[in-house]
Amino acid sequence: MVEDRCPHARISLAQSRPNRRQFAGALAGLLAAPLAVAPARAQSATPAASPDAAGGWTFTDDAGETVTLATRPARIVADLNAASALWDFGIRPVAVTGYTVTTDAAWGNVDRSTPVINAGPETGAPDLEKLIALAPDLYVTITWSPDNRETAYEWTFPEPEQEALAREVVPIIGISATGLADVNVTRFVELAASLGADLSSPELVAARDAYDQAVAAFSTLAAEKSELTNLFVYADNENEYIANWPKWADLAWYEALGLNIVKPDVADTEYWLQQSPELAGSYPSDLLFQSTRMEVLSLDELKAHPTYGRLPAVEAGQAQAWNQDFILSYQGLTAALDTLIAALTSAEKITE
Amino acid sequence: MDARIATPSPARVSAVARQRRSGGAFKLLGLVVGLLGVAVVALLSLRIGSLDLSTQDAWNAIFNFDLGSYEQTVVRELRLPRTIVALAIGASLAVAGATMQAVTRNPLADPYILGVSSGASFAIVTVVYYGGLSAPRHYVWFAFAGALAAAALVFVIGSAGAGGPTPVKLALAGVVISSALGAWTSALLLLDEATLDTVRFWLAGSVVGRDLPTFWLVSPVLLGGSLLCLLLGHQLNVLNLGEETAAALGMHTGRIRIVAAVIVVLITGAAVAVAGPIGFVGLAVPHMVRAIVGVDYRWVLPYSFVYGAIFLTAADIVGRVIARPSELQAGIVTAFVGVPFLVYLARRRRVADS
Repeated sequence: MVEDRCPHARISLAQSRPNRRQFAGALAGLLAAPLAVAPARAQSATPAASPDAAGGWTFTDDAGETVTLATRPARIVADLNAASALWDFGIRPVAVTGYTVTTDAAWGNVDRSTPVINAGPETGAPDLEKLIALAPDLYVTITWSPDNRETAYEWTFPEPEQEALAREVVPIIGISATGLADVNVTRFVELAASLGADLSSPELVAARDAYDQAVAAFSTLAAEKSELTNLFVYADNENEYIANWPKWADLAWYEALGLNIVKPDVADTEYWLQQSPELAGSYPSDLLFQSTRMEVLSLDELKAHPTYGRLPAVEAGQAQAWNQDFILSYQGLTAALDTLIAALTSAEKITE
Repeated sequence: MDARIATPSPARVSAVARQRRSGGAFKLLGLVVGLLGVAVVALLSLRIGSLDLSTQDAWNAIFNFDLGSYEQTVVRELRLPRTIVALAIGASLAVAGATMQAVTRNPLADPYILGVSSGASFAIVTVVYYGGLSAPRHYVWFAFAGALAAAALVFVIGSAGAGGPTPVKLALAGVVISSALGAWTSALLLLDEATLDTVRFWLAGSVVGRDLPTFWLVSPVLLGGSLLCLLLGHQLNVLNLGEETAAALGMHTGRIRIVAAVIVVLITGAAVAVAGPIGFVGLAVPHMVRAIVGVDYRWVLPYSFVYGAIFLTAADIVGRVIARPSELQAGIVTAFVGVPFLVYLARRRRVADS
């Protein structure tokens, strides 16, 4: 199905195909709901010598939901896109979920041995039985539509019923992944701090410094190389998806810092322009950034492809990888900026 | 014994007689028109697509190739392979479907009824999961072997018990084996999402982006098998007169069935190994053809071959233009076209005549 190839959100796919796994998960949740209602906080982590632990914990997420708990949450389960950010702040989720678990780049620095508790291969929702067994205090995910409460948690819970069932087990928080990446990262900083991260630790201070330096270096370089055009794609054999930069937090941020990104001819509400590989030549660019998702063509396969291989950027060897599952931590964004800096530094103008 | 099984129905007798009267000349003309249609549709497939280009470009791409031209590269490297694959797969699946409908005397039979598709899927997923293979040219032979093995298993199970391999028992065995293999395949895909990512493209069934060298490897089986099926027309006619009648006419029905089924499995296994499971062609095209040419398998089979090629290629072309600038898969288009047609046929009760 065409929808199956939609690379960004399996939102439309999952919404149109509730499968047996989800039903089983829902049933399990329904049966386990009485257990979840009973307070079961006895096995929280050892109380840290932190003033927050005694006075209750509260956090309002980007969708407007406020979570209030008696003590600071210690056991956290997170969607991988959120886990990769939290990990860099020293927060260690006990398990992860998400569509992107098969993509190496999306893991960032997260320990690969962290258990994955997806309810199935075509869903990012957690398996409710496993979730209950983990006895988490908090579930953190990202939201692509923070302004719309109904669809805010769709990335993880395609159906509202799934979200409602999961909320019986664990409180849920969503951090925005839309808008601008530097704004989103400050929200992760706030969340991490409230979860007990020590922002004054040497590692995090160094990370913040590296980030500030990378931003400054990138802005300068982007201004120098403003005539170079950049294209961000997800290209496979059947379709070429060109990223519509205003909808992507990382791309919109690069653009704000001065990067010259090609905008495809598509409505502002769309994440991608989907077109046949035959039309690849209609969007030439000096540099090409290919998504790091597993299902796409590798950079070598791009070179060998009849139409992608003829793109000026690919022919000139100016095609790079792009982590479309950007990591909203200082370290993650610094790494992304460093990749861009290296690519821009060595690139030359090859199109008109 | 039920008299309807022992003797051909009055409707069938008059249908055959009508055919003899209407003459082979028109049918031959129809076949020639079909062959021309194949040529036309192949040229259209090169000419039409998401990218606008001129007939001159399409022509030059084949006969006067200029390496530097983007349009000609699109025609030669993207459209030509998918045209070839669509023509060959469409033709072979249609013939295989017609033969399978005759062998099983089941108008709803398609080439996958003997577990071929699920066998190929299972083999590919197993080999990717355990062996880490990822390139189509590596796992195509495993897909082929899996298809054959599944069909053999269906045959063994369907032959068990008194009465040997009757159509009903074979169909039931096919359902059972397909379900079992499908369950194993799903289990492996659930266990390992990386495998799913590798085989997802193949599992969807498509003529796009298929490895042409792989296709050339199995094309002898596709074409050879189809040609063998075309020679079975007379036998299938006799088979369709009924079990007792055919036996009375001196035919070894069991033997003919096995031979035909083996050829169908070979063809379908090869088709699935190359392009994944493309549905609907094997089911719908024989019915469309019977609506034109009647129930004589000496005509149904060659017509299926020719019009099956046209059907799938035309569906692929429609898929390219109907959702610009992206493309719709041929399998979706065939379903859109085929379903209303089958409904129309069913309402006219022509389906029962086969």
